[in-house]
Amino acid sequence: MATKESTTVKEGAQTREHRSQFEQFWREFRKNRLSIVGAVIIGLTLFAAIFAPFIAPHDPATQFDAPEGEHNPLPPGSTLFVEGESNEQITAYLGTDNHGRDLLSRMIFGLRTLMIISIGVNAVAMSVGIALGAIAGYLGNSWVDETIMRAMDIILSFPSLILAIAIIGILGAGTTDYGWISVPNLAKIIFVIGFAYIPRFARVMRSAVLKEMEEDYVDAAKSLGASDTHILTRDVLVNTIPIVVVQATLYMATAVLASAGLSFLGLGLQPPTASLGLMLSNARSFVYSGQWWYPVFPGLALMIIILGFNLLGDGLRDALDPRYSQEGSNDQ
Amino acid sequence: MEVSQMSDRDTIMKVNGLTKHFTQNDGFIDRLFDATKTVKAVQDVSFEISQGETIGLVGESGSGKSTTARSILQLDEPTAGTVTYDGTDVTSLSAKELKRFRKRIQMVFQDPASSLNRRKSVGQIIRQPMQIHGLYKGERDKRVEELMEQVGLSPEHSNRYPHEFSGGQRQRVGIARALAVEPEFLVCDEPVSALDVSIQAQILNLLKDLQVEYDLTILFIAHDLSVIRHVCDRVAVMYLGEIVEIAETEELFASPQHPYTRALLNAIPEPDPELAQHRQPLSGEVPSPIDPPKGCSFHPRCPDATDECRSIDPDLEQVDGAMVGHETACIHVESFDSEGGITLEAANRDRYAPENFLHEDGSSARTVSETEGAVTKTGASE
Amino acid sequence: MTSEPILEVENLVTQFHTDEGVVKAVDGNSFSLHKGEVLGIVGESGSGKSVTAMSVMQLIDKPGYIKAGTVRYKGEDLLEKSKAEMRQIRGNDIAMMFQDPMTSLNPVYTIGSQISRVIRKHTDASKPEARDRTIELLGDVGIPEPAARVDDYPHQFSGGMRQRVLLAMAISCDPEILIADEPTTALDVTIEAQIFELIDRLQEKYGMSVILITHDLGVVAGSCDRVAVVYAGRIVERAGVEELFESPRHPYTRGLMRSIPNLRSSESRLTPIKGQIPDLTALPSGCSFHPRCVHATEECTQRDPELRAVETNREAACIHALGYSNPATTRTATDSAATDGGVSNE
Repeated sequence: MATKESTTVKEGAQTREHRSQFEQFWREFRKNRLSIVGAVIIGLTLFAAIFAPFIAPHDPATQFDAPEGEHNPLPPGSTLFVEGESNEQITAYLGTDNHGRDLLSRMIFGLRTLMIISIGVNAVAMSVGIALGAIAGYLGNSWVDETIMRAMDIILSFPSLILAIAIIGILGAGTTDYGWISVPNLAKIIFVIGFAYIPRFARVMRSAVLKEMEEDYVDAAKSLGASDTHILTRDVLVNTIPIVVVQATLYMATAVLASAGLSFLGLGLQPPTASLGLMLSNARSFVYSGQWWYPVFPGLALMIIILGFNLLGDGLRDALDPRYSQEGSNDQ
Repeated sequence: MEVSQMSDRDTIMKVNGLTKHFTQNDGFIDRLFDATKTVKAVQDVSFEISQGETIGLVGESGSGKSTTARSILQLDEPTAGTVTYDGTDVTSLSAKELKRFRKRIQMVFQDPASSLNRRKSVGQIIRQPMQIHGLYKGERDKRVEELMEQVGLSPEHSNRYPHEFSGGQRQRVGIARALAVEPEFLVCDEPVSALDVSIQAQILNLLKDLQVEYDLTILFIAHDLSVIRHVCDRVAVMYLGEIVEIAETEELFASPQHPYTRALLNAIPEPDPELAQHRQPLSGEVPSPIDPPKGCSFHPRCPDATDECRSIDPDLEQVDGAMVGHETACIHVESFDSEGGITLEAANRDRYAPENFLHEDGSSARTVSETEGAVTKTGASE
Repeated sequence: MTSEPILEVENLVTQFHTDEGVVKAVDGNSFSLHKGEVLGIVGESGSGKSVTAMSVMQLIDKPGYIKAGTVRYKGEDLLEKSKAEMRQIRGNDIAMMFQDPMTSLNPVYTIGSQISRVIRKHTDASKPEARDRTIELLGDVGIPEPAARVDDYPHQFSGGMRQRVLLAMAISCDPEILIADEPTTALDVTIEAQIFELIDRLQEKYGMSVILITHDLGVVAGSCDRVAVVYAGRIVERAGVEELFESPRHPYTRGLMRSIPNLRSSESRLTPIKGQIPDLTALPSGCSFHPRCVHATEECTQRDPELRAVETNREAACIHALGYSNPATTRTATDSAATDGGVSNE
């Protein structure tokens, strides 16, 4: 029949080469060498954190004896003796700290603490922040939105570190027993920094959702009869989560800094936990006395990790939204 | 005649006094201080749609045509008025009833890039309405395949993402999604205005085919009167939130009654150098819907406006001597004037037909076209 | 033609390097613009019509670059000009008007200061002189009460009025050539008619030559003297506007004319061009239109036809077009008589 002619025209033959979402992502991601560098740094850090007991040359808490006439901290490459058995020797590749503990091993275990805190903080902040932001954005410009966002403004108006200090001050540092439940220090720190970070995620999420709500596909879903929850969870979230993931990667770096900062101030993790922040805090007094390795190595590690998170985050941002990378080349 | 056939059909939708005002504000703090402005997007619009017809809503930006459609679909809650679909008022449906209503009436959007979720494969996009309404369980893959086939896409491409398709193909996906749950009524909001000219005709033809296949009633929104002429049985012309004229397509184009309809027809750039010389631009611009003019809202731009027009806001009324259903809202239209429209020139486009191509080795084609060219030329230049 | 061409573009090649490959946005196009004429460049998205204009102005940004060709303006090749020389030419000799009047004006400056700045850059007018000239220009482009509105900001104008402001800015230094890139695409049809009437009037008043880039054949019919039809980066047909509409020689032009909805025809089915616009990184072999062409033969898949005169004042790039294999100069006298009538500039 003549009227069928247009429907039988197969337009499909000329579509662009098909790629799965992952292929698409990977193509975009690897374009930038620096994001690969970031991914490698973070990958290695994660690996070290997970397998710390197998990688670390020594126990991070063991205090080694300095050889005759020398005092801890000892410089990189020093030979130490295991206490009691005087004939067993070990090498401290990056030197020791003031208690004679192997710096390298402590740093590797420190990475573990660091990653637990950053991931924990982001998990807390993200889950609450995404939920609040999504609700506020979806109900944009209603009283619910106003209430949530003004509450976020109040939290944001305190510098996050000061807020964390204040909360730690109230809860008290160290493990606290609340009668029936014992809250370890690590959990407290995660909660405190996570709480301070909620508004950041809520804001990013809200603006991302608001932007998506402008898109026609939301109206399309509505006109198809989809419920609000369906639209929010099945349509809007898939488009906004990538944006939040990028933010989370970038906030990992700040969370690392914040936890190090708290430890540095003595409010975070307590000795003898291995923590880069705590190490830096202790190493402070050795900066001017020539034991450079003690502050430099933990500081360098911290710097590299933060750089890694930032590079990774930038790379993810460029790669996760095919709209910006694909569509541009199409129009003239 | 086609026309009498049409009026015999049952009315499926009745829009009565539809009004939609938007309040502009930045949040509830503003509302507390009453710092609001009211945009009168749609003002007391009434019309009926018969089963199986294609009705066009045409107007410039700010005419309220899209808002009318969105209000009908309950995407925007009307400020006043009712929309009766198949006997029930859809403005007061419960959530459950609304969902059932939305299975029956579907929408095709203007911008196929924005109306498809970019993180879903086209297969998922087309499947979504079936999931929402719990239909075609167990045979959804088959249905997706069938739909893609129907709209002219290869079913093998169901796992691809919208950005891997061209604009025209994306619009086909949007149409397939709208048809997934076999609706009775389709609202097309400028479905081809974002597409390239050579692709527009494909999509318009596709809609025509599908209308027959699915027995669809179509509300077609467009700013382009040429597109309207090809697809619609009836046309309502909107200006500043109001319908100023409504008539059967043929009569509206041949004998427009309202000065705005005439001006609009006159403003269209026609692809013919002879005709294009006669464009007479309408002066002025569309006023703000926040503060529309008193009286007839078209009077500041109207070449025939009188003092009366400044005070009387005319109602849509049947034109004396015109076909039944030809209504206009102008106090100066007393009786039907058959002049002033666009005359059909059927032979005009045959010269572009493939058989009239001046082929290098087809001398006969050359002679045919030569004589025809001469005819059109003399015809137009007098 | 009676006058010397003011702008001659020859073998212009502009390419873009993308991930998908090299996009030949403009692939060896040549055209000329005569004094006082309106040349239409018509095509769909991806046809390279805007890139052509941007190449003339040398406003191609990375990853695009002009690979080859000459752009001769009053006998001098613009592609050999320095950046500073080009800056003088832009605005002063060749002015451009863009599609989107919302983004083409800077929202933080008054329209008066934006126009005055252009005037003061290209002339030695004093501030009050530039302001007077601005007010005069605003009056010229039909802005009511120009003296009062000169200090308004862009957002205080409607889309149509903003396009008028852009037009005032474009003609502020009395350019020889105005390049209008889809100047009315963002506007309503009644406003579009006003803008074109205005361009017509200003073109006469200032004696400009105009290159009008559009996708709308109706606009072409109403405003242009000569037309170049572009498809996939190539000019496929070029003719006087009367000839083009009366009997287009290239199958693409014919398909386009036939597929557009027409006010004067009530046929319920349109006749589309089959298939879709090809991806510029993977153009079909031979003639790029052959997969969509009703007249395509085996030869079309092999041979890439160049633009060739098929008649006096009419060129086409189709091996099947009548006159393609014979030189145009042998055309009959009746043909040239008919074409001459349509193209002269009144």
